[in-house]
Amino acid sequence: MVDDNGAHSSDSYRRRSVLKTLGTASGAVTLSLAGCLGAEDGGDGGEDGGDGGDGDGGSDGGDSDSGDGGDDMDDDGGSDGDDMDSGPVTVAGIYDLSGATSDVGRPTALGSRDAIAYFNENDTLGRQIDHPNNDYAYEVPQAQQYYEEYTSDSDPPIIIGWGTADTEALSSTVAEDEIVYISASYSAKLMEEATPYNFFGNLDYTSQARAHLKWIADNDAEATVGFIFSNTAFGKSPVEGGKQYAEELGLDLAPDINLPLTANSAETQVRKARDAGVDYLIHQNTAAPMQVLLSAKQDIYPEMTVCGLTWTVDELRVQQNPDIWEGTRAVNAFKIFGEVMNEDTRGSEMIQANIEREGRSMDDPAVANLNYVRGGIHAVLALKGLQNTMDMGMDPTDGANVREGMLAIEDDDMWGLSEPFTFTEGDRRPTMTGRLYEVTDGQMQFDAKAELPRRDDWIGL
Amino acid sequence: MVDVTTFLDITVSGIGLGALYALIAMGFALIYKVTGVLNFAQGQIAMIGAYGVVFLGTGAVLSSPLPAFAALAATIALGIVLGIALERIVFRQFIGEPVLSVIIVTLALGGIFSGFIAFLFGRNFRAYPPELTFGSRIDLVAGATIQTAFAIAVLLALVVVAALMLFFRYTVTGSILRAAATDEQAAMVLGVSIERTIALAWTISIAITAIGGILLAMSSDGAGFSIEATGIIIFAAVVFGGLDSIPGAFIGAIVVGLLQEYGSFYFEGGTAIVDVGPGFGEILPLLFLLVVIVVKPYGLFGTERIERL
Repeated sequence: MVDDNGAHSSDSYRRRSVLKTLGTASGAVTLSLAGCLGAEDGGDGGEDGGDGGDGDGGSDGGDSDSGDGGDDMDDDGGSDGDDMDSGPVTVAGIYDLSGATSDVGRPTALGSRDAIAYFNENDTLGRQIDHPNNDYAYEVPQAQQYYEEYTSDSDPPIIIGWGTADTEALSSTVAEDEIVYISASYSAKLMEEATPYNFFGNLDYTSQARAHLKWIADNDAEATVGFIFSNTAFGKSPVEGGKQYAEELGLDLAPDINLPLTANSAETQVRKARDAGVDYLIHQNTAAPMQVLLSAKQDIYPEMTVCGLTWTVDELRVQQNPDIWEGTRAVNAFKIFGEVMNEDTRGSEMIQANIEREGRSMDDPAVANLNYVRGGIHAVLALKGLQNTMDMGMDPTDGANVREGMLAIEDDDMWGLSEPFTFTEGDRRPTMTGRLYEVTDGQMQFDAKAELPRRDDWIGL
Repeated sequence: MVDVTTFLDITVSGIGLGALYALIAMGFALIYKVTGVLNFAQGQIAMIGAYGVVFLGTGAVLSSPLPAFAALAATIALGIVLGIALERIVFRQFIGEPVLSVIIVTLALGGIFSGFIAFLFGRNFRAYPPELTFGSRIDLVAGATIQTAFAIAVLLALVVVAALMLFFRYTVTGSILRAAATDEQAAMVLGVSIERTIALAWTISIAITAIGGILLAMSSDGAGFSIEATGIIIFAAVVFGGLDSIPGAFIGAIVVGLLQEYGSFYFEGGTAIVDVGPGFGEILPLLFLLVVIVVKPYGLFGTERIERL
C-alpha cells in the first residue's frame, strides 16, 4: 500500500527494512529511529489514514502492482507483444520524506505520488503506472540501495529522484543503464552531454539567478548586486555564470558572501552586504538560512532586497513570518500553489482532485505550497515522456525510448502548471523563462516574467 | 583599515552568539563534570527547547496555544521534567556501567529527539509568537548595537556561570556533586545519593540548554533545525575551556563566537583583511579546537587527570 508516509510499496521492501534495522549498529539505529519517526510523519499519516478508503483509487495502482510490475514486464516482454503494449510501466521514486531536505522534499514527493495516482485513476496514459517509491532520507547510500532494488529485475524506464545528493551520485549510472532520471537538482552541469539521461522541470540554478539579474537590470540599472550562498557545490552552482551575466548587463558586483546551510546568525554576512552597498542580494541556499538572513537583514540593513533562488522561498516560510519576508523576491519556471488553484487548467484540476482525494488541506502550507506543484510537474514530465514514446510507436518500458519521448516534448506547459518546456537532443534546458515573484502583504505575488536568451554557451554554466 | 564601529559590531555579535553557545556549552560541561558523560545530544536538547515554545505557544500543533510568555515558562519547566525523566528512565540504568555505554545512549537520544521534532513539525522552520521576537536593537557605545536576544543571552550566561560557580563552591549539594564527580564509588561509600546527584545534574543541564535553544531561536525569530548543529560548535568551546570546567565552557563559547564572527568578516570575502576563502568563519573555531587539543589537551581550566598504570 502506498501510504502517505512514503512507506515502501511492496512487502519485500518492508522486509528488507526490518532486517536492515535489526542488523544496524547503534549509531545507525539512532538514525533509523529518527528516520522512522520522521518518515512516519504521523500527523499527516494519521489524518490521511482516515482516508484509507479513498486512498485506494489512486494509491493502489502504485501499490500492490508495484511488486508485480517487474515480473509482469519480464513475462510480457519475453513472450507476448500484445501484453507489452498494455502492461504496466514502472516509474520508480526516490524521495526525501524524513531527511535533511524533507521540509521541501515531502510536499514534492506527495505531489508526484498523488499525480501518478491521478493518472492511474483516470487512465491517462492508457496503461497502469507502477510507482514503487522509497524515502532515502537524503542519504546517498540509501539512494543507491533503492536504485539497485529498482533495477535488480528489470530497469524502470524512469525514476523520479530528488536532490543533489541522489542525482549526482546516480547521474553516470542512469546514463549507463539508460534510465531517464527526473529530479529537482537544477545544476546547469546536469545539462551537459556527460549526463544525457538527467531531466528537470525548472530553470537551472544559474538561469534562476540570471532571471533575477535581468529584472534588476531592467528596473534598477545602477544597482549593486551581490551573491550569498553556502560554500557547497549546490551553493556555488549559480555564482560564476550569474556574475558573468551581471557584468554583461553592466551591474555593479559586490564581493561574494558565504552563509552556511546551518547558520544560526547572519549578522556578519548582512554587515558585509551593507558595507559593500549591496542593493540586491541573490541567495542560493535553503529556506532555513534564508530565514536567518532575513531576520538579520531586518535588523541591520532593511534597505536591501533579497532575491532568493528556488529553495529559499515558498508559501509556508512566508506565511510563518510575513513581516521579515516582505519585499523578498523569488523565481521559478512554474506556478505557485495559489496561482494554480485560481486557474482553470488541466493541472489545476489534477491538483485540486489530488488534494481532495488524499484528504489534504488546501490551507495547510506545509503541503499546499509550490513544492507540491513542483512534484506534480515531475510526474507530468514523466507522463509526457511516456505518452510521446507510445505515440512514436516505441516501447515505453525502455529507458532509451522514453528519453526520445522526453526529447519530443516541445512547447508544452505541463498541463498549465509551468512555462512551456522544450527539450532537444542538444539542449535539455526545459525553459529560459523565469516567473518572478515578490512577497507583498504577506503573500507571494506574481510580478513579472524574465525571458532569457537560449544561449548555447550557458549550457553547463 | 579596520572601521572601529564595524569592529565593535562584529565583536558584540561574536560575544552575543558566544553567550548563546555558552548556555548550551555549560549544560554540556555540567554533565561531564558530574557524570563523566559526553552528551552528544546537546544540540538536539537545545532544539527541543526551541521547538517547545513553538509546540506550546503557537497553533502549529495545539489548537489552543498558551500565551507566549506562559509557553516560554512552560517549556523551561518541561525541560526540567525532561531532565528528571531521562535520569529516572534512562541514565539511572547505566550507573556503574562504562561511560561509553552512556555516550552511545546520548547519541540514540539525539536521534530520537530530532526524529520526534521532525514527526511533529516536519523539518520546517517555525516562527515564534511575535511577543518573543525582538525587532529592535539595543544601542551600545560608539555606534555599535546588539540584538536583544543576544543581550539577554549575555546577561543570562553571566548569571548562570556565576550561579553555578557559587553553587559548586558554597553549597552542600554542590560539594556532593563535586565529590560524586571526583570518585563516584567513594562518594557512594560515604552515603552520597548518586541517583539524586545525577538527577540534579541532568535537570540543571537540560534546563540551561533548553533556555539556550530558546534564545537561539528568538535571535532568528523562530526555531529551525540549524540549532542542532550547535552540538558540534559547543564541543570546540568546552574543549578549549576544559571539559569539566563550567567557567571554562563559558569563556570557550565566547571565544568560539568571536572566532566565528571575526573569521567570517575579516578572513573571507570582500571585507577580508586576509581572504582565506569562503567558509573560513565556520572552520576557524574547529582549527582552534585542533590547536587546543595539541597544545593544551585538558583545556584552559580542565582537570588534569593522572592515572596510574
